[in-house]
Amino acid sequence: MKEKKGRFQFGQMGGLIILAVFITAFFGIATKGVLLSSQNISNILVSASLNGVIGIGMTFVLITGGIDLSVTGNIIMTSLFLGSMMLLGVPWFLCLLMALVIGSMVGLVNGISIGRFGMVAFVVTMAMNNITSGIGKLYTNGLTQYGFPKIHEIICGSLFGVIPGPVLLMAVVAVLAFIILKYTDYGRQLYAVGGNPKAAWMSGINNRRIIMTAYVISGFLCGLGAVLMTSKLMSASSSMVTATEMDAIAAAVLGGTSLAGGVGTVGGTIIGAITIAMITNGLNLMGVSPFAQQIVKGVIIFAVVAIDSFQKSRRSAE
Amino acid sequence: MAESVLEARDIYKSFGSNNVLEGVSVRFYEGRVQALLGVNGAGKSTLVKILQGVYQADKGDILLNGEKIVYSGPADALKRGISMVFQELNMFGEMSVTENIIGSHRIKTHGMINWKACRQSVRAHLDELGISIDETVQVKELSLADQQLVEIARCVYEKPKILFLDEPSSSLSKAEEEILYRLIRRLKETGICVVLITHKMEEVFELCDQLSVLRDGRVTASGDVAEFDVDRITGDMLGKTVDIFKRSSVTNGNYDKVLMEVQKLGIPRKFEDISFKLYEGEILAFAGLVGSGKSELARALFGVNGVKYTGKILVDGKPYAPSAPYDASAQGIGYVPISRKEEGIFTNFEAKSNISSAMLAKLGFFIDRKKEDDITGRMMEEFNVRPRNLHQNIVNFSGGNQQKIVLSRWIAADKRIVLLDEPTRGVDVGAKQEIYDNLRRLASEGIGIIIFSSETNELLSSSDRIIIMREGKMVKELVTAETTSEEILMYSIAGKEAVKEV
Repeated sequence: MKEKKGRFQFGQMGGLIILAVFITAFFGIATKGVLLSSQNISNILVSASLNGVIGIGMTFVLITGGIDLSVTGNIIMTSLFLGSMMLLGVPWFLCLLMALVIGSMVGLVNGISIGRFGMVAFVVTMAMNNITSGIGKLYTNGLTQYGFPKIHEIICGSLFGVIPGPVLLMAVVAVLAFIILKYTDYGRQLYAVGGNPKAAWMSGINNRRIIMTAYVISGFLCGLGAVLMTSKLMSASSSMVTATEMDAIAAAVLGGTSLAGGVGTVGGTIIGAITIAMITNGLNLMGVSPFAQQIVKGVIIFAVVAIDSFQKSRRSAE
Repeated sequence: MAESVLEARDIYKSFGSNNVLEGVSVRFYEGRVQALLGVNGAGKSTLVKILQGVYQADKGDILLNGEKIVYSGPADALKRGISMVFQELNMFGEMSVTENIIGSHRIKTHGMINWKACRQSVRAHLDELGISIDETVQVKELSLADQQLVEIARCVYEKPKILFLDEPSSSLSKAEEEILYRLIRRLKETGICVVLITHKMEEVFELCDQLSVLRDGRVTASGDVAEFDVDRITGDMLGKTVDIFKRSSVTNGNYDKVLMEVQKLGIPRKFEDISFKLYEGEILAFAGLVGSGKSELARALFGVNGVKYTGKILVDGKPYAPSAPYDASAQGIGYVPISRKEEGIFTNFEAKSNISSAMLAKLGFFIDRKKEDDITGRMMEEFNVRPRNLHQNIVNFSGGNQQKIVLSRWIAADKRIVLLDEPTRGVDVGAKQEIYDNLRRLASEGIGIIIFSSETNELLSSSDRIIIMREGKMVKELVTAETTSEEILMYSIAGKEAVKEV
């Protein structure tokens, strides 16, 4: 019976691992090894970092059986507030702290609506996406704010001159999230609530609090994402990020997270985010047009999900 | 002997190293009611799933009207006239009875669905079966028993040759059972072979012509029901003749210490004026048919619907008003729900996490994994869960073992009072006794236990005191050691004692 468990876990991420190896090999050859140069690997990881961070928050929410479509709006609004505060001369650490608070507050509103009042996650977060990006644009009148060398230096510097700041940040978030999901009672309850909400409720678990917290975590990580993007670009604008929620969902789903809830891992999501970044990077190196890139990305996501679901149906047929 | 309509010949099936069926042969005949008996894990469900085309047999043949067939899948089996009513009903609650029964056989005129004709067809069908349910109401509006009848009517509408019923009466009251039995007899007259998968002996003797007993993947007995008696059947099921149910005799109740006191509890249209005391170490039982309000009482005590009742509950002499299950749990109350599949198990979890889901608070923010392993491992031992594998996913356990896991969840959580709603529903005879023994052991440790059950055997063998509910009211309190199943049933059904013959 032990073997069965091992096989099952491989099955969950099996499709992705095969894909990641295949893609690495393909682009490695197609770009004549440029893909695997240390500088390029560093580039890939840096560009995966935002998606990785947001994807982890998304994973928490997806495990509860919900969805967070407000991440793009949240990041834009938080970035614009962050930029404005920096321009007003507020000390940088206070600005960063405020960004995390603002992001979490958006998550809290989502969480209360969905967890406490049982509103539909899809609709609530979609509305919140409009509201937050609207507030950000209104407040800054749609103008781009730029010039924050201080936080760029802090966030985007590199540790020992080797590990870029954003990658380090993603790694720290991933480790913490991994510990929370695997080793804490909160993590266990999260999977329970997503796996069978009624049984969780009947086991004396406070579903509302668990769900609410998941959205706050997602919001908090959006705040962190805003810090990351603002410092990386040294600017904040209403079009600085687009469709981050889709990339985040794609990373999570590639990593084996189930949209039905109850299933998902941090490791899977991180590998998913890196795989997506690698595809984009590889196609760029090959000079493929951005329009064609979109098609390739879509096809790959479709293929992985299809493989996964074939495996599942074969398993259940056994 | 007559030609068999369906025959399983020398069927073998194994899952991994687990041999579930080892050479099973059973024949099913037209116009008969046949019982398929066996304890949980004997292989009944697997056999039925093979006959349904859900699984493929590793070896052996299936013969339909004497011809060997191979199914392409469950839909194929259905098309060939092999139909099944599952324990968990399978209907569209938002749709009407007509829409559910008519299924894909919609009657069309000019390419549009003619609902009037559909309704008439369904009405005629229901009348023929002697079912008086209104064909226009939504299925979710019906009682569980009526839903069951509709489900059977739906299967029969497809004109099956053979109909499998999986524990059809497990959630029905005595009166409702009668209606179901009448329906089954009528089906028999129309020439359908009805196969009952059941644990109820009364059902076997009242309804069935033939029976087959499975044990450990083999047929241990089969033949005319007339040749059997209860002792022989249970002997064949268990492999050794045992006294099925030990009668409850010793009580561990400490009648000086009240654990829970309920005063004039009521929820409009559910139950009213419920007052009782639960003592330390006592096993109190609420008896009553489905619809007597006992399940609702259990849920109210666990705070499932919040504080929406009138009256008062005291625990340890202090007011107790649970706003939600987590609140009740924090105050030392546990509850094993009636519906294992819906409210009990986490299908995304292995056995271990299923057992520990109610005791997480005890394990700390960073889960104490050693403690978790110790406690869950001990639970599996004590409840004799098989296979004894903490890391096996819950869906790979048999129903009875799943129930033991759900039960042990609240025992592991170390609560002072545990409420159990139909704790052995769908559990085989041997496992039942194990569960009762465990409850008794827990009571001896000072835990207060309340069982809500409609099985008289269960009440007699597990409890110290029995309170009988009928139509939302308490009608009688009995001391288990001094009562009989006739007495319990009499109060449950009629609300009064039988007129004794002088």
